[in-house]
Amino acid sequence: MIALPDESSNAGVETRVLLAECRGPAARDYTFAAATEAMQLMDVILRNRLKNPGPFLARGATDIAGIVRAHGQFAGFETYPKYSAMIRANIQDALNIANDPKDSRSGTYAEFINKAIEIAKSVRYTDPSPGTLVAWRTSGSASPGRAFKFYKKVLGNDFYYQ
Amino acid sequence: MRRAFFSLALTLLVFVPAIASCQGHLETFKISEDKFFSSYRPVLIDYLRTQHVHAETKACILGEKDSGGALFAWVIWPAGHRIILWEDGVTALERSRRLLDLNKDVVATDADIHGSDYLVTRQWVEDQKDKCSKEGLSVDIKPSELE
Repeated sequence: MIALPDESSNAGVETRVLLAECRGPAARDYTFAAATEAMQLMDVILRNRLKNPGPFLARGATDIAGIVRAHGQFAGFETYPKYSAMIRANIQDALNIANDPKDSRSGTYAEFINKAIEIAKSVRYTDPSPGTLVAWRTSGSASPGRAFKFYKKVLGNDFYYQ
Repeated sequence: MRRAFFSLALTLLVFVPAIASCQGHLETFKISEDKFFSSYRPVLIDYLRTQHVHAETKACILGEKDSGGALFAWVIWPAGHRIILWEDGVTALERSRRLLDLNKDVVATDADIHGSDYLVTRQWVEDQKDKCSKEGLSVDIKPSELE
C-alpha cells in the first residue's frame, strides 16, 4: 500500500509537486525513464531555488513549502498545504490505481509514484545543466524570460537554467 | 553605426535560429484525426457543464506536438476567459494542470514571469489565438448539448 509522505514535510510537499507536474502513465509518450528524468530535474530546480529563493519571489524561504508557495510560481500550490482540489484529485486517482492490485495499470502507477517519493526524499542531487537549473514550463507555453536559457525538453516540460 | 548594425544582424542570424531549434519546433496536428483528441466534443461539453454554462458558446482547439513527441492541445474559450492545456491521456479538462485564467494568469511581458511554471504573456495569448484561428478547430456548442 503506497502512501505519500506527510504533507508538512519537505518530501511530502515535493512529492505532490512532482506528481502534479510530471506527465503520468496515461500519456502516450510516457516512459518510466523519461518520468524519472523529468522529476529529477524538477527536484534540482526546487533545491536550487531553496538555495537562492529571492529571485523567485520566495525571499526568506527555508523549506520547499516556502518555495512552492511563492506568488505566481507553481500552479495550484500558492496556498500550500491547502492546494488545488484538482491536483489533490489527480494524485488520489493515481494512488487508487497504484493501490488496486486488480487494476492492470497498478504496477506502472506504483513505479511512477514510488519514484516521485524516492526523488523527493533523496538527500543528494546533481545539477546536470551548464548553469543552475531554475525553472520549467509546459511545452508550447514559451520561455519564462530572457534571463533563462533552455536546457532540455522532457515529457512535455521544458527546463531552463541561468 | 554601420558596424554595430552588421554586428547585431550577425548575432541575431547566429543565435535566434539556435534558440528556436533548441526549444524545439511545435508541429500542429488535427485533433479530429487523433484517436485520443478526437473526443474533443464530449470532453469540452463535460467541462462546460462543470462551469454551469447553458448558453451557446464557442471554443477553438489547437493540437500541438513537440519535438519530444508530447501531444497536447490548447482549448481557447473566450467567453470563459480561459485557455486550457489538454494533455494526452487527460480525460477531463477540469483536471488540467494548466487552466489559465485570462483575467489572472496573464502578465504584460516575460520579465514579469519570474520563472513561473504557468504565467503567460499577453503576446503569447494573442499568438495562440491567432494560430488557433488559422490552424485550429473552431467548435460551436449549442445549448441543447449542455442540458
